[in-house]
Amino acid sequence: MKSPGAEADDQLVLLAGRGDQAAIRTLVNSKLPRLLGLARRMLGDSVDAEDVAQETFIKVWKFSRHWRPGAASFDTWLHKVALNLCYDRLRRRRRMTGEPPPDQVDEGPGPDRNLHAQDVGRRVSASLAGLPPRQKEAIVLCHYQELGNIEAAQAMGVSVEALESLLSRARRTLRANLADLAVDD
Amino acid sequence: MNLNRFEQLAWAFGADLGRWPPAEREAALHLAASAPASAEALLAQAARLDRILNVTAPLPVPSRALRERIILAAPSARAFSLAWRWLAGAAIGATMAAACAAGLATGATVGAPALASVRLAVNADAGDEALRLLRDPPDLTEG
Repeated sequence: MKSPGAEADDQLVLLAGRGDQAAIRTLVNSKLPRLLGLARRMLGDSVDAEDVAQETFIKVWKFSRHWRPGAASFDTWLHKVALNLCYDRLRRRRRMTGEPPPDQVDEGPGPDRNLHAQDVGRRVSASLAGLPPRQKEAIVLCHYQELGNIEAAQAMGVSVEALESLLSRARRTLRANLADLAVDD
Repeated sequence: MNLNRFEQLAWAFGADLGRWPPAEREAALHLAASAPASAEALLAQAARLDRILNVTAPLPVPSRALRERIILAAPSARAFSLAWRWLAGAAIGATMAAACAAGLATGATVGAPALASVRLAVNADAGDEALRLLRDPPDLTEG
């Protein structure tokens, strides 16, 4: 059974497909920031992230008229579309450079470094960027996008067990890389 | 659930039990109640990483230009109504075409016996002519 939020999304998508401007604006306002965040974390580049967000919405508009509220939630479908577009771009980058996209270098623990929140943020982002793509995807979907584990597994096209394994490996790596950081409650 | 499984779940999904697989949440709560010190230590470890992960570089806020580009690309009510009009027109056209086809089919069905009787009449006439020719052959020697 769908949550009330998921049912509201279905209704908005159907209205958007009929050109209802209020529904279109509500969908953009509610989904765009998270979508942009997802793409930014996956691609590490703001311009590419904007392109992915825009392309994702173009697909939404294309399919909105034919949207059939089924078992899968719109939010999960949206994440899946955005992730596929992110992977297209990552593949294109790899073809152009002939190697994996240059991840930001994790500087690792430094001696007596007094890190401010901004520095901590940069370290975390760099560590995240250094993860293998599927592990990064799992962390982004579950931790940052706050998808439930069933929805995240659906968006990634894996089982919940496989998702757990990816998350576990990702978090172990992140913990090791960020072991020197301390964050107040 | 044993402590080992509890640890695995904390590692994977973090300290918030709301993010754990729904099927295992209840068992996890039971274990946390039966071994509070061990469970709390594991959750504290996971919570520490959760807090660190929450401090990321600020994400970009969607620009007004991006919002407007996306909204401009959305389907318009006019396009939707035009599409409906086109579909209605296409439906009427299809109905008329179907009616014509049905008319032709009816005509063919009704006309077929009439054509057959004409054909029989022609054949019958031809047969009579043949018999008459056999009875009274024309004089081919007359010039």
